[in-house]
Amino acid sequence: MARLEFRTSSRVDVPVEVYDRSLELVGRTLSSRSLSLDAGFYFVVGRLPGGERVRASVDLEADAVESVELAAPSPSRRLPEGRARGAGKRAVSESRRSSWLGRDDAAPPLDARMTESPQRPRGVPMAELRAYRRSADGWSQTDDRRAVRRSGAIAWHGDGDAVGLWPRDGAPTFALLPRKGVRFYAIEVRRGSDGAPRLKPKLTNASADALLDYLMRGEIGEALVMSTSTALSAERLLYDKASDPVAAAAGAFALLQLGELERLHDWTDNLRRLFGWLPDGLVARAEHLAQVGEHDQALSLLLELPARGLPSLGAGLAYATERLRLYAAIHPSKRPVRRALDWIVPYSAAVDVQAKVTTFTGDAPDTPTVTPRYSGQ
Amino acid sequence: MSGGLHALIVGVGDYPHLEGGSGEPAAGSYGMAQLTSAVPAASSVGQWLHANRSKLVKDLASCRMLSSPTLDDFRRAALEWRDDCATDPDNTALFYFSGHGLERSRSDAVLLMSDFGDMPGNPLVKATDVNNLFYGMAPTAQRPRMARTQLWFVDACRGFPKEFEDFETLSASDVFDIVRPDVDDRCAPTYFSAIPGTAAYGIPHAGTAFSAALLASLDGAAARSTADGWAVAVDGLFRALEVEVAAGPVADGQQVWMSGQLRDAVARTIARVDGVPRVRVKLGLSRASEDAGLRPAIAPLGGQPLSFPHPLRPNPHLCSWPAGAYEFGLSPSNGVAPTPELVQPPEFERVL
Repeated sequence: MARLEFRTSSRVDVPVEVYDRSLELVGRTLSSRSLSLDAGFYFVVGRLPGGERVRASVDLEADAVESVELAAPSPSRRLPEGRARGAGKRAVSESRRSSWLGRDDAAPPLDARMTESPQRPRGVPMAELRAYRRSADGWSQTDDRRAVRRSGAIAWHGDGDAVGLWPRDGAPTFALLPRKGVRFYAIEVRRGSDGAPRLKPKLTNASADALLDYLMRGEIGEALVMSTSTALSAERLLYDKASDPVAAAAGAFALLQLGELERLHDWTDNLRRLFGWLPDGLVARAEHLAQVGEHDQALSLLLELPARGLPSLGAGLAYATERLRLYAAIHPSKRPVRRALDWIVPYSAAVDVQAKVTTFTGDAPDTPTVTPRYSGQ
Repeated sequence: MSGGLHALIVGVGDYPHLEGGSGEPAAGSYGMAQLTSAVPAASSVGQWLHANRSKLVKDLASCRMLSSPTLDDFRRAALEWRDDCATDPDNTALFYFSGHGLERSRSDAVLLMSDFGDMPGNPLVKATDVNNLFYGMAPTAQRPRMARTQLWFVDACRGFPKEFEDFETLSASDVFDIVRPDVDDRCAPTYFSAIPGTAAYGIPHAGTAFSAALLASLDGAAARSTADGWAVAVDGLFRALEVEVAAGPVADGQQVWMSGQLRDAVARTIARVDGVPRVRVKLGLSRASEDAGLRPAIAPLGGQPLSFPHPLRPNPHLCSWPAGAYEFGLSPSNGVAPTPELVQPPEFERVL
């Protein structure tokens, strides 16, 4: 048998598929691991966290160890930005719309609908970041503010429970980031298709962030193998000194969606117990219980959510909302269920569905608002 | 293989109480009118299932098609469909709806039936909630043999009407009685034709962007090569739908969305593909290659070189190739040996 290894400049593990000459999938693994294969010719396809496919081929000899490099296209091998030469309008719009504009996964991900920055006076910030604190009396803004002058990653160490982005033009967006866990989130600002800046928090744990990206793009096979990365093990995320409960919650939600309940063991229960300040742990545990039919326990946990706070991950918000809907239908006379559902639904309606971290439009951290519109079919 | 595929396919285009309808106008039409694309879209999905039943991994055991049903019509058919699906856990349930839709939250959609707006009061009384349908199809103590593979396709806008006050608290009508689910070990992805708050587009009298994308996906855009030939499984479906919707003629800005449960999605095969599927290819020449007067030198492994216009116009060049292995190089050779690469569905991009 020969052994095939992989090299990549990606800072996280990359899901890799290996195909034989007849195009049959013979192996699926992570770039940090190797595959034992018979001698022969193989095609290798990797999926970077940003969505690009990277390809290579290798001719393996018996008993050899070969290493294949999985590299993102260099800038010289990318299609030029802007108008395709000789193309009509349709080709240009397709070019802009597609995800094929070769991206370096180490660079901040492009919003697929980015537009040119609108003209504005020099030196005038395009938005302001503000911090908010939650107390028994409700939400209040702190003195923490930060001018935002360009898109990209923002170093933010605001002392609060929520961050709001107030653009010069456009609706403010908010993210509820538990104060104890603010270091597990990274703040980015991106422009939406309307040109308005949007809050786009992500996870500082790049592996967990990538896992959520794979799932959100429907790359199920890639997500499945990514979930086996040692960087996402319960041991590392929950029990190590450098634990990362937010990444652990992301991993739990991924395993729940993938139906990998056998791998969860007591992950969700420990997440809930050890990191009680993180609402997502409570939701992950509730969903886990619900999926194995323990609905009384699941409901009991979900009824704690309004007091604990909104899940910080979009997957957590979706799970909590849909389970509360289900339980409200099963128990129509139980007022606490209805109250919990009435509390969470406005956030679900206002949330940015393409954001991994719960981000919503609103007037304040406790006042989500939906932009009403209706068109098309 | 045990189990069969039971399909419920619904197209609602005739809304008598909305704009342009033949009935008494509803108290509020919320900007909605008749749909000429919904019924053709549903018909095309049903016709595909019948025409391709030999390719389906599960026998087409039942296929209920409804054209502009009232809520009662829909409820009757859905209850019968559920009973059929609950006969064998190896069954596959397929649900497709095309018509008007509204949304309340990220993974929620309210589906409007033909008699929407026929009475005052709660505007959603003649509508039903996807979640009611989804959880009504869960395995329960009463239905332990419920189909464990379920494919949900919701082809409707997901708008939030500005006229609705407290819309999120309104209740749509239940079609299924909801009881406590048992262990929910379904593979049950739900594919929405549009992300919440956005529109899904139709081709007047011909179908929708999403239905066309779905059929293209089943025909091969979502296919993978297996030991038994090319086949479409659940895990490739979302990416193919995305690509096909984006490549369609009317889908400007439309983005598909997915939720639901993905247990064993990689292993859940839906249909086989005859022959080799075609792949949407975007081939470009870099500025340096263009300036040097180079042209693509590409051939399937062991096959004849492909021909391209020279100069390459448009650049990037959009084309469609059979899936397979190809060698990519430039002519005249720039000293770099051609590289073999895999061209797989649904799309492939290469810059030389």
